[in-house]
Amino acid sequence: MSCERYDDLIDDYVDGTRAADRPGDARLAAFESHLAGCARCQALVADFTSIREAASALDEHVPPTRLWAQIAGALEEKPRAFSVWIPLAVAASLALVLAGSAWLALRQSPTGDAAQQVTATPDETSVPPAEAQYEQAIAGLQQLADERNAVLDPATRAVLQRNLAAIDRAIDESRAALADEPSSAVAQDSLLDALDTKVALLQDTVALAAEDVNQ
Amino acid sequence: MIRALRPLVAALAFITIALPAAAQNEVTERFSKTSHLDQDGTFDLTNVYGTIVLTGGTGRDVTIEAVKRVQRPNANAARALLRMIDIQVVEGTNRIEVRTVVPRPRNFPGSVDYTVTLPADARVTVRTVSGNIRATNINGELLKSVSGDIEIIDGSADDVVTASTVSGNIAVRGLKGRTTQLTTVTGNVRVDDLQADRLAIRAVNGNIEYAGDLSRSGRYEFVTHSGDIRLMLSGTTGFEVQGNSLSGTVRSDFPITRRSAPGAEGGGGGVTPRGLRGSFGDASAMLVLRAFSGNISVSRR
Repeated sequence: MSCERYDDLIDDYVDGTRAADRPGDARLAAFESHLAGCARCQALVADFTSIREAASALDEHVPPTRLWAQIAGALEEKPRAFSVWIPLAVAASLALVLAGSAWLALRQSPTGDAAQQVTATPDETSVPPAEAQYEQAIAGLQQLADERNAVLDPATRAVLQRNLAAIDRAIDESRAALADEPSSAVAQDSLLDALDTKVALLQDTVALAAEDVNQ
Repeated sequence: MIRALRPLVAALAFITIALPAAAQNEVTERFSKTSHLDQDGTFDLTNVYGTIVLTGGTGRDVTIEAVKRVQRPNANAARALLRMIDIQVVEGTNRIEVRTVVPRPRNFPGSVDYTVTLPADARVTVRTVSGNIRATNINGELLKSVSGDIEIIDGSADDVVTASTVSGNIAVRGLKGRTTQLTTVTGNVRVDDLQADRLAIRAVNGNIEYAGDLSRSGRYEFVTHSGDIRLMLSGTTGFEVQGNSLSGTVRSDFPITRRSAPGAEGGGGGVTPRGLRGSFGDASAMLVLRAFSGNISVSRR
């Protein structure tokens, strides 16, 4: 289950985005730490990397002149029916379909499930470093928020504080559940979800306060 | 200018807030501007307090109608405060930025309600502190509010649609989009008749409700900590599902076929009181449902 939360980061990771280049990105850091111990995500990254490399190695195919002549003829007959972007759009669609099929095939294949189960133990051990990354980010953001949120109006500050308290309760409950059952994937995911939400809310608080100061 | 007015604003705010709220005088001032956006133009609106209504249309004009509003017991003070609300419109290359500027202190006793019509293909970004946002038939959107509700109706988005609120509710109806992301902390989220390849909904204390069909190959993620997750599906599209609640209950009206090996969390397949894992029909859509203490139900619509 922990794998699902990182699916949206895999594209960027394959494109070369790393946590070392983005110090404030706690999710990316958490993903890298998760990736080190998860065969399922490693397989996904390897697969996408191979698709990316294969796509970049493709020869450029220039359509023969006669094809363009035929297209031009069709354009003259139906001026709004075609566009010069159609070949590109078709190629892009094919690439998307291929990539999507690979994604789905891997996601739905028995080996994908097996890989996830095989890595259940290392996956669980990835939570503490991810949590530490979040805590570090939260500490920095909390300090900034405390310094700056005095400029916000009292009603907005109260809403933010009430919601931060709700997130903190979720964090505490998740930690308590993990203390009872350290291998619970739901508790692990809930903890990381709550930490992620807290980072986002603190970022919004700091941005809101900065905007107010700049007015 | 604004800095020089601060003592006056502070004095006015103090006097007006200190007076009883019973005899309120509301003063308003209208603002109107028409502009133009070409195909795929960008429209940004930043407000502080007040409602925002956006409607996409077929024309290329952007009409901005706004009402500045101040309610105070002292009419003269209200008028003085009203004059300090500034609506700034900056027009760039195929881009329009609208911004409400109010002087500090930020608990300024005024608001601005916006009604905007604009081309349906415009890429829209709206941010507000307190106030509801309603967007109808808009293409790409980023809607963000601290304490207001967000409502998205219809629209056909090529781009990502993102709506985020801290304590407000989010409602989405009839949207067609590739990717939709909805987040709230303590609000509820309700989605009806969405057509999207990807949907991600996250809440902490809020409930999540989804009613409609699923897209083939669509991927749907519903996560809440203590709220409930209720899916009401037509059942015309099959799905693979991974659902878990740590202390809530899990149930499905759909027969879920076991896929994974026994021993996995969530009962290892099929439906258990805490887990839902397997597939229904052709398994062409993917559902991830996660609650910590909330209940999860997947029922027929």
